[in-house]
Amino acid sequence: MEKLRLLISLISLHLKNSFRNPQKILYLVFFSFLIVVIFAFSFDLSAKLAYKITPGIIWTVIILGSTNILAESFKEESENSIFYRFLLSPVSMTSLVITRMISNLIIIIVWEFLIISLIFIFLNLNTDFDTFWFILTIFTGSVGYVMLTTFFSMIVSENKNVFMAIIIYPLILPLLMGLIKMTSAIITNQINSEFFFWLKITVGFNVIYFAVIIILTEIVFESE
Amino acid sequence: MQVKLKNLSFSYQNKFIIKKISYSFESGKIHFINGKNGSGKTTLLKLIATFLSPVYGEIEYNNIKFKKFKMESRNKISYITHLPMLYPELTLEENFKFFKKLYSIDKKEDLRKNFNLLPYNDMQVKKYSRGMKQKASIALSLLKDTDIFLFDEPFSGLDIESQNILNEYIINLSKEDKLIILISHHVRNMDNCIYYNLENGKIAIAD
Repeated sequence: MEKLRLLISLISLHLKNSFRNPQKILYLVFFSFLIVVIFAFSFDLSAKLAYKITPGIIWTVIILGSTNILAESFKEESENSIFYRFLLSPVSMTSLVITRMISNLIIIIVWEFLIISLIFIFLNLNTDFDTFWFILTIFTGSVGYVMLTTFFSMIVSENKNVFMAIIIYPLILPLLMGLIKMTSAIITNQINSEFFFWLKITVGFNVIYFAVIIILTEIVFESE
Repeated sequence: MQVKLKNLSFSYQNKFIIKKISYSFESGKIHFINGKNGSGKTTLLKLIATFLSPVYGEIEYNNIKFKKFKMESRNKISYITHLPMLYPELTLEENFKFFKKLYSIDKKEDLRKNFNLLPYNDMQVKKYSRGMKQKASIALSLLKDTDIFLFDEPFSGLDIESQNILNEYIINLSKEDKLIILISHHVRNMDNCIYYNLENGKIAIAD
């Protein structure tokens, strides 16, 4: 129970810290808002075409908008040498990384809700599709992407010259393919066996990412 | 408490920074290690703090081997540096509250008051001066009730009054039979102190 309380305080610490520095949050909102506006006003989209390109727009906005923010998940710990305090504490580094993933996921999910609503409004799309599967798809994709980006942000936290996108984008490519296929199937009301195939693949990737992260986190800190 | 270095060596990018050091640091004394910039003082301290692992040799903590101690007991070490080690967006009170919970500390604190930081308790740490950040960081690090205290240049950047407060605090810790290793490139006169020189990766008791 005490350990759970500690983990909750680690999550709330990061959330409090993130909202104290509104620049990051404002960047997320304005960057994604800009992309949505560009897409909405650049093309004269027919309804049919809009439904076709919406999954791509959604995931482009999510990935491009959040990579830089997630890449700085451990910036404060690194710049202010706070890692030393954690290393000499009873909390394992794996717990620190997992709680950071959870707090990042909370921020990203709230932001996604806002930005996806904007996409539907600006592209004039209706929402008469199965929202359960839609939310599940967005959530599953976000979990995998946030997990991976948070983990790599920890690895490169001491090296400011590493451009996160170069590491992350090739790794999430298979995940992204599945997510676009799934999102497309949902908003065009074509949920079929192919959708469930991609859902299993996506969940499978998340499980693999999580297992690898659990195994590697302590090893990474050990070697630094 | 005893920290024993056995043929301890550490290299970085094929250059040996610590060369076959064998020595035993005992509690109840202040072990003051002096040396030039780049002599390996911080590396030695980081090895003892378990942040780095020996390339050759061994470190034992009360006869517990390095790996076992690192896995099970590294939270028995306090590492005090001139680095801020605080969340700048949070207030001092929030930082203390969080880290006290992290370390399960329920101890009465006096250093925050002695360092005259209490009036700035609700100010974000990022608004502090460098010296204030350092005092806050030291006050927080010294809250941990541990057996081993490792000080890395703790006096640099502090005003004379704060240096004296810290000096007295360190001496009192040594009287409580704590193991204290302090590194600095400025020699200070301290009671209950053994002085060492670290040069070219080798340690020797100073004259």
